[in-house]
Amino acid sequence: MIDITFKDPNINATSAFELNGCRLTAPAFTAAEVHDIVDSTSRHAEEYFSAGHGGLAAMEKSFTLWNNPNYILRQESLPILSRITHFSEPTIICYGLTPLRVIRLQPDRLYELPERLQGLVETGDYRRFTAWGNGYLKGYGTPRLAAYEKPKRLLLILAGNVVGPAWLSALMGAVIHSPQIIKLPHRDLASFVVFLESLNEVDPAFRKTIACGYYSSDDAVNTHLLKTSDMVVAMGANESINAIRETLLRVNPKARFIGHGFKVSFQVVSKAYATPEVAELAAWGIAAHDGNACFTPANVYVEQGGPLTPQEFAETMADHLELISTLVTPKKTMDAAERVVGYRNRQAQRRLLGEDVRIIKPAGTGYTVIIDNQDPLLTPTCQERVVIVKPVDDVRHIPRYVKHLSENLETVGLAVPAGNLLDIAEMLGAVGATNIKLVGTEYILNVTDTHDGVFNTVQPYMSDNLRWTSLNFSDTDQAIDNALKMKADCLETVHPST
Amino acid sequence: MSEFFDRLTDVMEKQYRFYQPYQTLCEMEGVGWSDIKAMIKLGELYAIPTIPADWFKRNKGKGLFKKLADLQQEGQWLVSSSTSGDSSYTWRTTADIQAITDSFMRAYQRTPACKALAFSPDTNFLRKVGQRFTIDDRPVMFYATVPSSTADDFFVDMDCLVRLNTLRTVWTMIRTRGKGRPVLNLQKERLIRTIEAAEQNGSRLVFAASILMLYPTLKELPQAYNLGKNAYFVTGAGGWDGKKGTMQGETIDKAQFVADMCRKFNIPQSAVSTNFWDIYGTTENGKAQAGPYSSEYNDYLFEATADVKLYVINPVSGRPALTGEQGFPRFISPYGVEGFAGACIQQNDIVTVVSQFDDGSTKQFTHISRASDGEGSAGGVGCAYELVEGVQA
Repeated sequence: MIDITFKDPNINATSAFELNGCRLTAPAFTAAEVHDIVDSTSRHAEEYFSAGHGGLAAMEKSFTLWNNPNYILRQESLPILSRITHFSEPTIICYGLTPLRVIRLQPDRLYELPERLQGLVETGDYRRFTAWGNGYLKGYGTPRLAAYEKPKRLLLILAGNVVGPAWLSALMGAVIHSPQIIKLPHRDLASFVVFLESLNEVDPAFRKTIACGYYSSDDAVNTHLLKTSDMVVAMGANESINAIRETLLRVNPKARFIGHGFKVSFQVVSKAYATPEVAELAAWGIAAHDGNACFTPANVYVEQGGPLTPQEFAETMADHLELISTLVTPKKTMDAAERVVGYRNRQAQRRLLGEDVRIIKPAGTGYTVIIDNQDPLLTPTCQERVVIVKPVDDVRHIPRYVKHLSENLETVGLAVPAGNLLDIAEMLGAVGATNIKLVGTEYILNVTDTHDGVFNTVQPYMSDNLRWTSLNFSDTDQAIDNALKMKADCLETVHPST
Repeated sequence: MSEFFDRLTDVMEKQYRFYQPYQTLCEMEGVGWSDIKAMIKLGELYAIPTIPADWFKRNKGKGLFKKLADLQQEGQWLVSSSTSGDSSYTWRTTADIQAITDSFMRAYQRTPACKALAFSPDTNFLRKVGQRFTIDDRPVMFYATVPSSTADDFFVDMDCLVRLNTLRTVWTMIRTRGKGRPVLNLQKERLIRTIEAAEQNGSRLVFAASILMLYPTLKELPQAYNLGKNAYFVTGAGGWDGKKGTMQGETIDKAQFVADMCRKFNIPQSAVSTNFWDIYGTTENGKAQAGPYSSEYNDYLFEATADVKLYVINPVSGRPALTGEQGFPRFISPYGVEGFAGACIQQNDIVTVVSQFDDGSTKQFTHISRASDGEGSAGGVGCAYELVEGVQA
């Protein structure tokens, strides 16, 4: 049993938890202390931000530190994070830390976001894909602009499914100069806290603008925090999101709420890109966070008629998943493996009942590739490194195969010729996709990406009633080259000169 | 053991050639008949393609159970009590039912053949209820009938405490126009009288069958009894998680159950490992694996019977689990499977291996729990959506 204790500058009380062989003492919000915690965090934020400081530089420095293999906190934390979350260390490094290295927290761009979006709305340019970063952006729906006062208290409720991407959540307070109260997820009480430890090393005054700890959702603390927050952002299961929304409506109906519930993502490969390189990237994207992130793809649509048939594409993906599983080992937990076995059994059963389904799998549950010639509809898998490849005659048919889940669509990994990019993006955006990226780069998040169709750092100031869809590349061939380099780069960090 | 392997070869050949779905399953695994024969010859039985027990369930199996049955043979459908709310159906010949009976007989022989109080309806009742149903005009028997009738034969005096309340049942049937369930009563006074008699006579008494009825009833008896080493407990067919068929109860802590019963009947600690037994067996595999309570594991310690080779497959590695590891129990046996493709079945349970035979198969196992399969309700991990049956347009 390993003993680990985390502290928070604004929280005195702690709670002890036993998680996967670790005895973890984490900061805890208590009913007796919650007023003082909120006051203390607000006071620290007032002092810090009124002096003209911003937290973005500290966050960027922290991201850089975490990508230095010699960083002591990283060296000490990785084995613990791996133990608590069950993700292997290479998985955390490749898919959690390395993407943070490429993020540039350009204050100008972040501060300009509300104005730029407002401009798109006012000119009507939101109706078509317009240039946005290295790609394009388009809004869907009927715009209705509303401006808000900066929230005085921000409550973030984190989900515990992945390590790394959640660290970007702290960006919100840094951009809007607001104190942040952060609720840790029960299943991962450590990864966000170790990130805050590094923020504390880099800029302790900024760290104090954040109070981060655990409380139970049925605790009085929950009601108090919901009652006293101007804005609440929650990530997690639909049931949790709905419960928070209902409580908020009851106790604090004026508060603004953004909920990020269950999402499903997929990949689209046109015949021109049904190549071994794209199969390699597709496999790399699927292995991200062991399929546990909302942005990791669960289905791959492959158009017939390319250099590789969909079957060959699937087989090539399986070969790459085999290789990836030796370099970036998947998690080895019973509950994940049980779900994979159950999922495989159901697919095998479909075949026995006469459906045209094939399974490629190793002896264990490291990865699973299903080739489904029967049912083109988008179907979430059991997560983990499980993917279902669906051949299609024409990528333009895909919207009709995914629209039944349009409320739950999020990221699409896309590989189509540059000349067709905007047409295909338009069709995918229309059915609900919000983040269109190159195949295999779904795990690379950017601060100017939308989160389920909204910009979290803009929401505190402004709402526009639109669902934004971003396409983050414009030259497919160039993007493939970059993505392959990024993949090699990630692997180099865990296995030098692989 | 050579007879086991010879017979397994014969049974597997039929299973491979006769049941088309099984052959398809083997093809999916890249395994042909010659491979299966080689696996048996080399003793690598764990590698033989295995049918998941859930495929015998009526709903989950989507009707596959009929394709896994040899209906050309005379027999009857053996139906489970629907622990998961979805009954399993296996087609059994008379010889198959005899094999199940033999297996239960061997399990019961671990306890004395004395008077037994069963917290269940009697065999006749179970048989009659089964006779009310048919599948495609073929007869149906509840699986529970087999252990019940075996217990009738084994125990000197088998007293089933759950009785039909005829008047209330008739009234219920009238009220519901024949759609209601029979109303059953537990004979509490009879129970107390029998315990008191055993206490007075110093005779042995076995408390048997459903833990969901047995435990709350005995725990709530107003007084303690001095049965001492003469009190035995033989539970079976699950229910520890509070669910069994249509019955719902509290989750039962096994250590607490044993401690409570020891207190209630003054059973010495030294008798715990000889007087408390549980039986793990399912409709699909039909093998009764008996296990005494182990204070070391705070659970029952089951032993693989001689009529099976049990491999616990660790899903993470896909290999047989080693001692201390967990996995899915895979039962391989040529006995009792004349009527259906049941020679290699993997249960959707998770168990922990306690010891192994030299050939790597499991000798003792414990800590049985249902495996999760991500089905049943809208689910996910964090904000990532997970497979839900029926999430389709």
